[in-house]
Amino acid sequence: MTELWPFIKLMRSQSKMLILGFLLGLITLLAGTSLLATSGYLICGAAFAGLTSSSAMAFNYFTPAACIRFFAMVRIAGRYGERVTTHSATFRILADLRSWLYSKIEPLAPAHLLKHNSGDLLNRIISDIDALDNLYIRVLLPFAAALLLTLAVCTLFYFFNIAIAISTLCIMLFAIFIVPLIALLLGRQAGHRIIQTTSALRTDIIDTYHNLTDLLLFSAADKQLKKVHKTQTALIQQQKKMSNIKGFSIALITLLSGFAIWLALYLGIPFVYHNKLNGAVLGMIILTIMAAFEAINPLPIAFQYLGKTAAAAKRLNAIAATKPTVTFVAESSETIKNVDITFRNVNFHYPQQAFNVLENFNLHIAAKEKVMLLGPTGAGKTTLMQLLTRCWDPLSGETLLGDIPIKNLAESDLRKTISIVPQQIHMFNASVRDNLCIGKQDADDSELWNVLQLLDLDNTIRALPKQLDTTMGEFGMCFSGGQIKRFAIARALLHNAPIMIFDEPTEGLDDTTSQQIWQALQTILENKTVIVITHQPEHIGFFDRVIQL
Amino acid sequence: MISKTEKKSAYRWLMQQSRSTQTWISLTIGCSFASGLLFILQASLLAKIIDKAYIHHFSLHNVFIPLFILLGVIIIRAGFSWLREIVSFQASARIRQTVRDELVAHLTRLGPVNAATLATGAISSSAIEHVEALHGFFADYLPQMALAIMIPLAILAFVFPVNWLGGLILLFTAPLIPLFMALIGMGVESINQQHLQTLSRLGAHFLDLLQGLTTLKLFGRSKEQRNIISDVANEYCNKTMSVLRIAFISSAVLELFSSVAIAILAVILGLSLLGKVDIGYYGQHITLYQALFILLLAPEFFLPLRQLSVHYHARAEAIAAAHELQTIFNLPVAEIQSGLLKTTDDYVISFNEVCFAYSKQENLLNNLNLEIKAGEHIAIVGPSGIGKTTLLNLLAGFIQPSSGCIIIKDQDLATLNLTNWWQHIAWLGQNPRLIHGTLRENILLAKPGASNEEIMHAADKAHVSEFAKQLPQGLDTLIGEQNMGLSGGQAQRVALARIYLANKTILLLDEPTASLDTVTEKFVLQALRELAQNKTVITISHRADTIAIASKVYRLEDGKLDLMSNAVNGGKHD
Repeated sequence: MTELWPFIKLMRSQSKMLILGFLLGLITLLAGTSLLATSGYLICGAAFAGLTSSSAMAFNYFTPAACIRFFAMVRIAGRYGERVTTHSATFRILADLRSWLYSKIEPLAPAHLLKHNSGDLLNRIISDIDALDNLYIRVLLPFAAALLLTLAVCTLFYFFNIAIAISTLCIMLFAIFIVPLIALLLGRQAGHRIIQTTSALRTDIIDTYHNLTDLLLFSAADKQLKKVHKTQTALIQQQKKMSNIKGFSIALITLLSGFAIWLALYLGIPFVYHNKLNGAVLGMIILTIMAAFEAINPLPIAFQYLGKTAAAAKRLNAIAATKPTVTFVAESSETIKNVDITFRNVNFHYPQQAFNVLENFNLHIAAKEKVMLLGPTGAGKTTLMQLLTRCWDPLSGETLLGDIPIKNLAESDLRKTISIVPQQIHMFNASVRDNLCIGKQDADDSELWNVLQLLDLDNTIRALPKQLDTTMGEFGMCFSGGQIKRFAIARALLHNAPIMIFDEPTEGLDDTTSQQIWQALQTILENKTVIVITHQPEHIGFFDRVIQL
Repeated sequence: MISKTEKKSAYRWLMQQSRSTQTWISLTIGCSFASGLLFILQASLLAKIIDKAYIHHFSLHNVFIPLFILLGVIIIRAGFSWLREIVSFQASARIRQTVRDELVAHLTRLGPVNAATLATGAISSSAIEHVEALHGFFADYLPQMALAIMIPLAILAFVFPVNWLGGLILLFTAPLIPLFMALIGMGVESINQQHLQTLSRLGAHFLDLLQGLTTLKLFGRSKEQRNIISDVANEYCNKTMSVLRIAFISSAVLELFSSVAIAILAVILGLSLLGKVDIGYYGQHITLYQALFILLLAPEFFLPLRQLSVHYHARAEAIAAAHELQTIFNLPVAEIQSGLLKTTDDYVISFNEVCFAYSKQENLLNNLNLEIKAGEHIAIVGPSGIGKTTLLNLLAGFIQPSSGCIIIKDQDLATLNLTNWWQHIAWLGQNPRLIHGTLRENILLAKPGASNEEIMHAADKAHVSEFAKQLPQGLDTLIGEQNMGLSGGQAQRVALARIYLANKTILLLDEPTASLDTVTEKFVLQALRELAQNKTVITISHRADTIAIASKVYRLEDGKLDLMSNAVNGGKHD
């Protein structure tokens, strides 16, 4: 459970709200318990006093009746206040959690993110964060409140009868600590299996979806459906175990609450018989125990799912603890004066690879040179650019800009020098304007229209009702692949760096469009270093040099 | 946001599903109701024991019998609450299983083109999360709906014969039960929707950010996002809280009624016992037993309602999930035809005036005509998005022409049984997906009963053996998620080996070499050329080398085909 610590510490930022919420929750519980306790005392006392008319006259029912009304009102107001404060605090903690996690992931990008690049994994990070919701609202606060309530209740009992106080304390503590622990331990293994089977089931289903053409044409669909059925049957079996554990812990709590009442009676009746305990107090005790267990009842179930929360926390911690492959200096050792690119004796392979992709690699690209990097997939073209942008660092050798090793450059200086159109393009779920302005934060509209016109996108955007404010939809889905490619080029042009890198710029574009774009780009790119990565030689005339890798 | 009618239709769908497990739902209700009745017995025993011990001054010895019955009742009640969990799990298990099987089967019926309108993420979350979200509706919400009425009524039935004033106070709140339910409905639903919406919006924003992190970083814009995350979250939080502050009033009202009822009961019963209120009893004056019995039942009277408000979020969640599932189930599926292909060698495939448009868009194919003879190799070129792949999809029967028809010899494709038709077709796309499993399993997909020799032959022909040799376990090497461990070219060769093994008569090649480098392209083309002998082949490609295997090259433009060349070696397109 130690994996939960970092997330418990995050509560500090909202400590005031959380403490307030916790106190309100505790007050609500205390008021609810007192309401029943006072009611029990009033009725038992009144019954005894009612036996004779003189004692009936003397019985003070005003105070308990007033208390009852008071507790009822406190309970209502307390519940309301508690819900408002805890919800607001949780939302804010989750917000802190996101920005905390972001600050941990940001330095990892993109080297480590490549591993986590599948949408499922990122999705899992999102649901892992949401799973931590459970920790604050259902586990920590209720647990603390139940514990304090128990102590308060048993302290009260102590003043009337030590035996009952001790027996109740033991049973309630058992219910608070041991039963959730049992639920947690029993549920852990099943929970772990459920997570594994769920991900196997997800793989099976996504496999089915991605391979529909082949499954249908090879008459293998039925077989695949049977496979899905088998996996999900296994899942249901494991869930059944989990719900069995849930039933067991609920039964155990029901049993303990009943037994606490029973034991209080069993111990209390002889004291009442010997007039050592007021019978009305015994009545009050019984009702108090009943009410107090309401705070304990939900705990085991919350703890049963704590395993899931802990697993989520563990995965998030693992990401947070990952050491960045590349670290940047805070300030550049000197200002960049010339942008000649030099790779000197560079050796590199990715961690999972056994052989060097680049072996004693040397290359010099002069400023304003136009270079095409040509070669089959896996030859190291993209790798070279990843080294230049410091997504990775070489294992040995160095990369220089002018005569400054790039590892002596601050991140912001390096980024200002290089613009890149990557192979995989991401458009944010934001307006066209916002997406373009990632390249240049303060670009004005005329600048945006200029670059859009250059890439033959201006008419498309003008035709839209909201023009530059059109939301690009999830993953830029409103636009075609070719258009997205052109947006990415537009973004890179706006960035206006002296070095421009294009990774497979014309893939997905038809010949006419690709031709058009090259024509348009020629003048703009004249004063820049241009590196184009491709596996298909095109527009050779534009380049000063073709480098075969 | 889901509209009201959509919600209703989702609710109807859920209720339809519930019919298949009505028995388990009834059993769940039975267990809880039995537990409720036992609680009434427990309250009666408790009241009796306290009454005897306090008012009648009985010793422990004299109350032994009720005391031990009480112990028994407590144990049996615990047993019932365990049983309820077991039974209620069954109520949802079968439904979830059926729905999920049906969902995946529906995907296969939709076929690759129609199913592609759904995002992978949508499929994944529907099949897993949304199906799981149905659980609470059947296991908790539906039973609790019945119990929220049954248990209060049962309690009233026991309280009235004891003391009608106490009964009346409870009854006074009983007509308010429908009001409660409405309150719960309005309050809890909006609380949950707001909560879930906030979470999912924040989640989506964060996901978008993570996916685009590399982009932000390369433009030097990634650091500033940390503050933006907090800003966005706080903005959502403020908006949500302003709605929640009102919605929480409903739960406060619920608390109000139960607290006030207990308070009134306690005071009135107390006053009755003191003789200051002289009504409510039948004949004999009220006793401690009676008063305590009623007081003990009072919280239980409201408990089922409070539980209902807890389970109400299961309802909201299930309705949202059912809505998502319905959108998938509502995608229309072509009817299954029974026609069998009569001839397999001497046929002509002809497209007659075929039109096709994706929903609500302009015609992509416009009165298109095409004739392909058995054994002919044709190629189709044209800019991307012009409808080339659509043409292949029409021929594969994955989509149907909006007008016109495709004739195979003298049979209309629309009348053919597709499973039968597919036995003759193989497809090689540009980005083949492989299933999670070994290389061998992936190749075997094409012909489950194939012998080892056949597999090795196909693997050799498709140049799979070359790279398989270098893998630690050869053909038995496991391929991870998203073809992990294989390059695009290697995956393409595995797909090719499948087609070799399947040995179909019609090959549809959709940009088979687009993602390959020149070396791999050479391998693949050489293998394709061998495979294509005596087969009908339709190739789509940008690349001159790839279309070179065709004897006729067509250009697709404005929804129609133009014959460009008719030479054995094809021609370049520009």
